[in-house]
Amino acid sequence: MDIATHVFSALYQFGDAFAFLVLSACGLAVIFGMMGVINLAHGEFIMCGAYVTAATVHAGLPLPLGILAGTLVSALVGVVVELAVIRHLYDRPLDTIVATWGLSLIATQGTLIMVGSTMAGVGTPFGSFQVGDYSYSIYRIVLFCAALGVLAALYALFNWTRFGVLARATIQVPHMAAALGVDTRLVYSLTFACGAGLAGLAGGLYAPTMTLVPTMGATFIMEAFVTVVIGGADVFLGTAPAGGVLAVVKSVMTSWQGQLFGQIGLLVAVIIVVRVLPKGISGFVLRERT
Amino acid sequence: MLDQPRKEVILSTLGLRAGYGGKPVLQGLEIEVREGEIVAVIGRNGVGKSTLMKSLIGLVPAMSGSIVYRGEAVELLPAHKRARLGMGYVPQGRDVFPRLTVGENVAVGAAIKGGGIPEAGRRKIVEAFPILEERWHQRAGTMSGGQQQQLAIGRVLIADPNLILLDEPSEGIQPNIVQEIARNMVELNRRTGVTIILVEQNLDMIRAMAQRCYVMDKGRIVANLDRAALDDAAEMRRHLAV
Amino acid sequence: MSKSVLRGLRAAALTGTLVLGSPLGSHLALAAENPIKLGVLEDQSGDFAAATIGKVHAIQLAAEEINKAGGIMGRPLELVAYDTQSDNTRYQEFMRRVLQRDKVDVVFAGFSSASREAYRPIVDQFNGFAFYNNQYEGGVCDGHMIVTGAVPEQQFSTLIPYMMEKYGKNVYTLAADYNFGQISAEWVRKIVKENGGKMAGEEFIPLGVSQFSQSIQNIQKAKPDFVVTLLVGTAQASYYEQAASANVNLPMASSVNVGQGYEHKRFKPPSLKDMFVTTNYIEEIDSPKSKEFYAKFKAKFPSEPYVNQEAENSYLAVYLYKQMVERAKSTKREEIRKVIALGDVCMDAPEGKVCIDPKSQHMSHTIYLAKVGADHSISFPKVWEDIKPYWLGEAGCDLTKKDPMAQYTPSNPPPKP
Ligand SMILES: Nc1ncnc2c1ncn2[C@@H]1O[C@H](COP(=O)(O)OP(=O)(O)OP(=O)(O)O)[C@@H](O)[C@H]1O
Ligand SMILES: [Mg+2]
Repeated sequence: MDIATHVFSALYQFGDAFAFLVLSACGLAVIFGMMGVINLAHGEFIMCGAYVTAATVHAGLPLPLGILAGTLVSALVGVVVELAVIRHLYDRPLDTIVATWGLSLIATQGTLIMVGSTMAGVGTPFGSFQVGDYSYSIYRIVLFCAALGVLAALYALFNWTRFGVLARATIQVPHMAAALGVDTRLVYSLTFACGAGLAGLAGGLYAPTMTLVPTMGATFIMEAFVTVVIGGADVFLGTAPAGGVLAVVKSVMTSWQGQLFGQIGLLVAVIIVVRVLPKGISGFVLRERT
Repeated sequence: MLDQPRKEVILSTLGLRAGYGGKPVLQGLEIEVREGEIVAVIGRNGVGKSTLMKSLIGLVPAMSGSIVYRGEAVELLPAHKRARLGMGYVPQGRDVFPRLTVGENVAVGAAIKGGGIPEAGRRKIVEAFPILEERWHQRAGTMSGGQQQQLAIGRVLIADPNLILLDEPSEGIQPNIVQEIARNMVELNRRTGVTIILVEQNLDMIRAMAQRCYVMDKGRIVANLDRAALDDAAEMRRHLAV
Repeated sequence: MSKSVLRGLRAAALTGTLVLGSPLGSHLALAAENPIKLGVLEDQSGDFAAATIGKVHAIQLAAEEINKAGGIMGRPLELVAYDTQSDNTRYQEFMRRVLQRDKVDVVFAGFSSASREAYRPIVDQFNGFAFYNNQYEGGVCDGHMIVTGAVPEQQFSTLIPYMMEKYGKNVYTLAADYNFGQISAEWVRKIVKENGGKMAGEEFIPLGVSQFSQSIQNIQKAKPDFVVTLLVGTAQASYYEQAASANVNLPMASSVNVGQGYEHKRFKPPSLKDMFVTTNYIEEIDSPKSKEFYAKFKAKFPSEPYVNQEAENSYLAVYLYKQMVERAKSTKREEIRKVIALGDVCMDAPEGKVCIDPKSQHMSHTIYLAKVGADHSISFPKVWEDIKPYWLGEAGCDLTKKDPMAQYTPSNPPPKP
């Protein structure tokens, strides 16, 4: 097998791991980074996106529209959850953790009772392609592009739009933003909805590739939290580089020794980073800057 | 405008009590400010001057009493709604958004007007504070205290407020910049008739700006000094060091 | 699945007990008697629920039939069901509860081998009596346990030689990383070697992993003739979809898929194309007994997504228990084991004839080779009748003489006497 094949396969595996880490983590990172809320129901927003995507595709919608529907429904559920629960607990971070954990239990059990223990999959589109001896799924490339797209879109949203500037102002000095006329509650609602929508998007994107069960969110959670812990509170300075670093660790370890070592690699990376950079990569970058 | 004798009351409080954690700092405070006035508020450290300002803008809720702004009771409105009614707040310590650029800080102030930064408004504030133009794309957190103070004022001016609450703008700032700020604010007041409530300890700044002065002690107004008293050095020293 | 049934179950789990509805008259007559209590600890929620809710329903169906026909020795059968939530610690908690507080006569419990090994010491400690109605990696030699599920010598010594003959001798194993997967993989390794084949590779996947791109590439690199998939839980089941979309296109062999998680029904064709599974029951089996069972099941649980091998194991286990109690004229474990020792505890189950082996207290089975087609239809290229759970007995486990209450593997067999 020639060098190019090896290089491509390494890049593909890196991209695949990167996409999963970043897409899993984005919604969590937005909500944690922007609002300081640790959303333990993150996995269930992912599950919600996946279920809605699958349901709408079964109902006849094309997959991209199904994914859009999954994203929007999750975002909408996010608005409701923020209004009903999170809003009342902003100054009680520990209670938020407990409340969102409770929500996640309710969501998994509720889905089990209402939709059943499993839902039919939708099938992965696009087929495969061959490079050297290996064949690859085209859809995994789509997922990688989607991860880059999400990062770019978030960058644009938070840097180039009025909402983005107001949201960043609100996280930095909330009372001052309010005193300047920013409806900070609305900003928090929309930010939470954005995070929930991103989780739904991850669910929708991965729905064609996975078993759809009420507990599916749990399979994203470890990667999501590891990425956010390593990245720190900032999506661009944190989540994106953390996704890159962890994707290298994971794909190298997994190809060397298998999946178990891939996971061990992630956890070791967390331990090292937490020791060396307690505020994550973004905390380190920001301290260096100011 | 300024030479019309009696102006409308723009802001008044009655029996205002406000504080932190159920403990009032303001104990039935009453003030009355007319349109176009520049009124200073002085008092020892910790008497509640900043609390008064926060209470007026809505960051510290009123426990009882009323705040009437341009004929409307606002004591129950959240801060962002008061800002939208034309109150501009420049806090003690400036509170710029450190990781936003100067331009973005100004954009937050402009957002109430529903849109980007209007070019005329931008020109107005960079003419008053040229440093903002120079540092437009720099993060606010990297600027000096004086520069941040100018930004905090510019950020409020961009929304054309009717009333500006200025809390110790001179604190920790070089004298020449203090003078520049004072000159700019007076100039603005002359030109647009904007009302200013100025909390200050710096006598020079008070004299440069204010037309009269409330003296605060233990959460109450204990004196209302006219311009002549402001110029009386002995009297002022007595009040500031009560 | 039926919502109302599940709600009923959930309520039952909360209150602790559930007497199955039977026609009022006989119910009243039976209720006068002291009921026989059967504890049901199965996962009705969590990662394994898809494969195990049918087990609970099967037990309910059998209990209802038995109660309608007059109960066991005239005593009604009462189910005490708890949802173990796919959580091993729940098994321990509820096993203590059914044995100590509810004082059940027998417990039907467990899906994953991890859960079984979590509760088995408690059954031993409190001198309980438990049925494990699930296929597994084999080797449990414990007088407190009866195993009605199939074991590796029944599933692999049929499946692997068939696959090697048909597709080639290079075998790759992809297995769940816990006792079931590890020990099953050991069996595969042993049988492949005995048949002159070679392991092209092995990878163990932690439970809960759902992303397989790298594993897929590892398999392509090793170029096996077929892949043995011993993946467990819904997360790991994502492998098939991902392998299909990467066009791995290798035949697959398994002892757990289709017959347990009905992946051929849940996934879009053709992701399970050319999957070969040895199972002792699935709903597609086309015999009169099977059809009758399936019809009864569907009549009671119309929205049951699939009737899998564990459902059949659970169903027949209730009848086997009835037979043993009636022959022993007692619910005491010692008395029942005397009946088992006779070696003729057999019945005509939906799959065909099954008997309990006195040495290991495991069960003989009819083993069906199920092949999944490109459209996910099932065909049965081969059927092996009366396959005995021989390994434990041959290796030296004999519960009629000695009860070591242990689990053995080919590399860790019972000590020689
Ligand atoms: N966030 C807060 N929580 C609790 N107490 C506070 C808070 N902020 C101020 N205080 C207390 O309220 C009282 C009034 O404080 P305030 O800041 O209004 O005083 P000040 O007159 O502005 O003083 P300075 O001249 O130092 O700025 C002080 O006793 C202070 O300790
Ligand atoms: Mg103050």
